[in-house]
Amino acid sequence: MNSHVKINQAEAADLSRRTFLVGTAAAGLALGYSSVPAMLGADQAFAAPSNFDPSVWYSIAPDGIVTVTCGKADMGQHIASTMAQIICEELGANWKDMRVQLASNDPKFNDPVLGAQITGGSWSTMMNFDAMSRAGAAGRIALTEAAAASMGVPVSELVVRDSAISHPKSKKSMTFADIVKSGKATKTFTPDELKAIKLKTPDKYTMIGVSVPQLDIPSKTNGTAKYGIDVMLPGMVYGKVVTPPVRYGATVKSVDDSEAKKVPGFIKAVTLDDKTATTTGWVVAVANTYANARKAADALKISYDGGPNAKLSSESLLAEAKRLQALDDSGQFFVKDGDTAAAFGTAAKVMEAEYTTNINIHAPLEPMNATAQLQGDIWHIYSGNQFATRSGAIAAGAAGVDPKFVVMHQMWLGGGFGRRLDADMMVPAVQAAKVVGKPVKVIYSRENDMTMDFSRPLSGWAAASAGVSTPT
Amino acid sequence: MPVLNINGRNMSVEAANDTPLLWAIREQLQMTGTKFGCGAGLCGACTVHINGEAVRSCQTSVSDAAGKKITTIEGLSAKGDHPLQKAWIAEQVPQCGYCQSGQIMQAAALLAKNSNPTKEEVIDHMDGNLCRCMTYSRIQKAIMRAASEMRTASNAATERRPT
Repeated sequence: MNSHVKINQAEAADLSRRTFLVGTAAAGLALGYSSVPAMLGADQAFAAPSNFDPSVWYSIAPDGIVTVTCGKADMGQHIASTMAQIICEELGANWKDMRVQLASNDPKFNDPVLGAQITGGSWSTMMNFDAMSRAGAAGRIALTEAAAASMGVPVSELVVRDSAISHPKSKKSMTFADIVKSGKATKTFTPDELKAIKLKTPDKYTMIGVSVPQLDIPSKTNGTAKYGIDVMLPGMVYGKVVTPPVRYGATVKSVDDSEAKKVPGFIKAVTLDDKTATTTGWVVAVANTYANARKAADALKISYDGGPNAKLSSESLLAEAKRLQALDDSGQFFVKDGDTAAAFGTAAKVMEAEYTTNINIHAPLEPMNATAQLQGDIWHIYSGNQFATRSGAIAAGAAGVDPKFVVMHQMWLGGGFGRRLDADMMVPAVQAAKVVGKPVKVIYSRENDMTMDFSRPLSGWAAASAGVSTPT
Repeated sequence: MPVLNINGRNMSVEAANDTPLLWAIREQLQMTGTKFGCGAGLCGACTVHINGEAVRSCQTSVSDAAGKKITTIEGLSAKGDHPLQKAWIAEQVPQCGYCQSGQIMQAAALLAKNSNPTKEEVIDHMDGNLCRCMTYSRIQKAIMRAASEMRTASNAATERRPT
């Protein structure tokens, strides 16, 4: 039975202390939350983003295109389109004008409820609905007030629909593009003002509850969608991981690269030093191309100490599960209700069955990968990942720097399934890049992925007994 | 240096003869629409056309592909408007989308030869292309839609022909 984690709204609602700004920026109209005090005004804040750093959740360009920045990982659930749909509903834009882009790990794009960038649990829509709705509504209000001023008519007489604001009485109309170009849509909402915005009631919805074409789909029919594995950086080289025969706890005793050195383009074999213990005993073969990195990886002769789990197998896990289950004096009850021993004793018939399942792997189709580049003091990491906040910190740990020096560049995910909540792939990319002094793209082989997952454990040994009473 | 004819253009690649075509396309030519999924010919994500046949580019060496006509997802149509690509959008097929270049290329090889396939023929032909998001039913619908559109277009062209 699933039980939902309880969300403490009061504690996590970071945005409640933030001002919402609508102001003119270089790219058109920018709309987002800011910690900047309201009295400074929106235009100044957006004009000096390096000082005030407002989080631009969406922008409207002078051609009327509305671009929503999605702080969620899109792994095929089309959450980026959903965020756009929520904003579009309150903003009153035409769906054909909506676009999406993916955010970096900058905390300004954190989930307003969770206070981090993590995608999972089917939580994204529920937890972002209110903030995105208010962002959309605030944009509509600012645009409407600007239109009213331009037309010289009362705000209350204006109708917003399909990216245009019209005044039916006078038949005047302005598109969002016209208003953005006028530069007059500037407004600041205090947290209380934002909270007081009356959102649409569901009976007024025209976008929500309607099936709309998902915004990422065209790019996924012509090869232009960029996944982590598609990142190309100048001077980049490639890494192929060599993994030990034991999932956790192995260490590398020695690496003989004499044969690998005969592979053209081979650069170096890098043994990982991973404090998170998720890539224990891993080596990265780095070469000028991935084909050569694979050849070099195959040519490395590595000897391992298998560590404490060297003897672990499916059989030993199952034996341990059975041993634990046979113990009467330990373990944990999820439910303890009534006297089962007595009930079995008086049952007309007792039925028993035993169940087990295999170790289960996630196996997204896009092999695990990450690309790491050090530019000045900043590590740039390119990878499709479900937990940018934590993955950035793990990349920082692998590099030996403070997490504030790591920028995670989110990409489309070729499947997530929870596998990309983990950050193991950051470690080989960062440490290989550090050693060879060049950007490195590490790509796991399918074999690496299948053997080195964070697997769902085999479901131990489930023994079910049922006492059946005689029908009365 | 092998010369590859890709999407109607000759391009020379710096790669050993035994390099899989997949990596030459992705890394040397930086055409990333063709995907790496398994490297063993088991998933179909790397499917391209060679002389009109759907092949797994991870299992095809650069030397075997040289001198032949190679088509990737980027070259399937000039504007991404092949009937299959339009049908893929109409049926909203992709989820994560990672397998879809390969799915479309695999399907295109079928429809080039048979614009009126049965459901069984479609399933049989698409059998080796895996989708971890399970978009199979929409893939089938989209192929049927594209086939129907191609037949309509072809009939219209026939009718316009002077008698």
